[in-house]
Amino acid sequence: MNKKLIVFCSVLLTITIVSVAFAEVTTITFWGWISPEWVATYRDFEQQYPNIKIKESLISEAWASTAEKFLAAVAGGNAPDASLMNSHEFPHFASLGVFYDLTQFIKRDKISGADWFAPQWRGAQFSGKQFALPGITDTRVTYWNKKLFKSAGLNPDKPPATGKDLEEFSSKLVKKDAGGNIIQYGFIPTIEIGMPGAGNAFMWCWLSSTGAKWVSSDGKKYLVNDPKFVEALDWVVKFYDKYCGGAEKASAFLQAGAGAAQDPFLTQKLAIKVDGDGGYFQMATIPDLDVGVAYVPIPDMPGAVRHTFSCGSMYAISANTKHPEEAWTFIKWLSGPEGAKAYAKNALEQRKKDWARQQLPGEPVYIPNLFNNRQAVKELENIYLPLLPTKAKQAYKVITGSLNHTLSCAGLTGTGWGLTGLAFYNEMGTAFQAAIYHKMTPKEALDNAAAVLNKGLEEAWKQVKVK
Amino acid sequence: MEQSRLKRQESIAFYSFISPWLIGFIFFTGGPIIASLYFSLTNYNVVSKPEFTGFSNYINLFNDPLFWTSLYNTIYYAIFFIPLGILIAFVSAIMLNQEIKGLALYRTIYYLPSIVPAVANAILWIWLLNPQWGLINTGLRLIRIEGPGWLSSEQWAKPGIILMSLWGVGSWIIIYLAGLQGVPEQLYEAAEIDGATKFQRFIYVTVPLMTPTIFFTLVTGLIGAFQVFTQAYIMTNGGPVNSTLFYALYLFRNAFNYLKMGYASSMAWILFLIILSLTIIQFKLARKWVFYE
Repeated sequence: MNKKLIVFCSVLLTITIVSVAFAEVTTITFWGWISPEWVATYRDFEQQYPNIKIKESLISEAWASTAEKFLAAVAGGNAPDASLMNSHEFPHFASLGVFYDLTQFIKRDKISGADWFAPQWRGAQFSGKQFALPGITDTRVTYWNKKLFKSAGLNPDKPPATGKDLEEFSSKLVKKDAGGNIIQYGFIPTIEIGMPGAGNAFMWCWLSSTGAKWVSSDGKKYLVNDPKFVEALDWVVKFYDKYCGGAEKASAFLQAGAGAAQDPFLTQKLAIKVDGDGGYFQMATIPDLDVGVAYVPIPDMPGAVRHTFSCGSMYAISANTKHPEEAWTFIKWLSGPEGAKAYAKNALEQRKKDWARQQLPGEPVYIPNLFNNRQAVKELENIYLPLLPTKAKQAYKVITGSLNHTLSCAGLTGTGWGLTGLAFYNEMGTAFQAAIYHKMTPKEALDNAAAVLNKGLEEAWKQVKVK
Repeated sequence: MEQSRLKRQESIAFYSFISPWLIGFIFFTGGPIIASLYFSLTNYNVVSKPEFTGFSNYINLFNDPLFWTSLYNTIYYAIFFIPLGILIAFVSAIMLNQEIKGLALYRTIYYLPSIVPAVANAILWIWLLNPQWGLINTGLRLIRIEGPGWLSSEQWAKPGIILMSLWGVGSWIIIYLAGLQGVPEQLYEAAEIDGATKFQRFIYVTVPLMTPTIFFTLVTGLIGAFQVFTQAYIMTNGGPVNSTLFYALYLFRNAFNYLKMGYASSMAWILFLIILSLTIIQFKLARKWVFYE
């Protein structure tokens, strides 16, 4: 009898202990990236915070938009506790009140906006409230092929700085076959076909370098048909006709890049390219590609200023989460120095694995990602910059230097992409195509984009819920 | 008395057996369909409550140039894809219906493209359609034709996508094969005895008996063609210059990129009405040419 009681009591005790232990662990659903280096980073977080478990899934297969699954989940009352958002669509979502107001956490934990990369920090706000912590950002730079420059009789150490340079260099770099087809290009303003917008790194920089603004100062009107934009787009159209054999030929040439590995810049059939900083790492792995990194050229127009643009990711918490405290702990860690260091370590490890698997020559390097948190950047630089070869160090310096001239795609006014950022991105991409394919004049194309965008913008402002 | 009880038992059994489908249909298909009719009359951004606006979405649609562009692109696709698809599937099925060596292998090969995942298929075709070193233009060059830029050309992007869709008519080939094998042997024999040539047997026996199959593919093909989406979504995202902005792609953009779910719902209903009326017309016309044994 006694024995039975003891057994019964000990079973009861065990159950109690186990259930208490389990009850203490809070599981957070997080929708973000799920590549191996990110998953390893989430596991690192769990090690440091044993009472929080992260259940991750992929936010979206299509990189331009994170909306599809996420909004359906919000509508169904089943949103993830925390999620990664694209900067350019973030303001629109935030305006609808789907995110948790982080202002109180930021005050309590004494987080200062000054410790973050300013354009993205502002981009994480709506109506004076903070709705996200910015994760990793990016920037656009010019890459040029020094070997091709040399063989065209150009100074290999002088990158194009203005539109005139682009024209002059291209006229020397372009090579044609006997039939008059271009087999080597100097510069092509857009990068790839397929995604209107995606390949327009140069276009955004070029147009905003005119000094004109995308959106009015109250955020209520798109000004995309500003005469300065029209003039800058007109230059691009003429450039296509003169140095690229027209837009159709140039896109056909670039089409191979849409598949994957055959980027003509990497195969050395295109001498100058404006693209995101993320591309440098791949270029550095190609042994006989001698590539330089510089700022994006600016138009020869009065009032022109150096501008590049930064997008990237935001970490937000859903408004209806049951675990705001734990979700906050997680996104604070992930966007801060500790998360950055964990990610960098995992990224390098993953790269080493890839290196071994693909039997690539040499040692893989890790060029620090552009975290928005300044402390994170500092700590990554301390660890990883000394390990970099001189050329990569120089490239990193230009990349981070260009951040001083950058605009965020997440702004509601001025040089931001406005409240309906994704529509802006799509419509402008289509307008660029309409102009370079001579379907419309630059003015018609931009007038048309302005009309379409403003109609959508007006509706979007009417539906704003966060006041 | 006894009979009605049996009847009732039978219907209970019937409904309980089909209940998984029935419940699934009501909650996951029928319900959303009716809901979308309501949403089409509202201003709805998914997250906030829908706001009733009457027929304004429909009125706006008719004034939206991109609506017309996307409709034009879709009709263009359907007009070329469906007849060509039927022709190719029919001819392939006839060839695969011959008694030759390795028939099973040929049938497998022809069907294979239909089971390639859409994304893999799209990537493959980006390569095939590559203007410089793609297989198609390389082939054309052999016969001294300089192929177009396909996906980078406003005129050729749609034909490129049609070409790609034609590659996947394997499931139609299967249907035609089944149809061909369903033609009774004695009819051929009777025709042969009457002195019909091979060609006459094909025209007067095979074709009439295949009309129900052709009709079936025509109806389902039309429904499918009006919903063409994946190829353009992955390969061109509607470009160049909106030349592959198909109806479903524009609908998708409105729904998920621009958060205009009400507007997208009204597009879906217009699409439904178009498909419905074309199908009714087809059924009406079918009486004139479809031959049922």
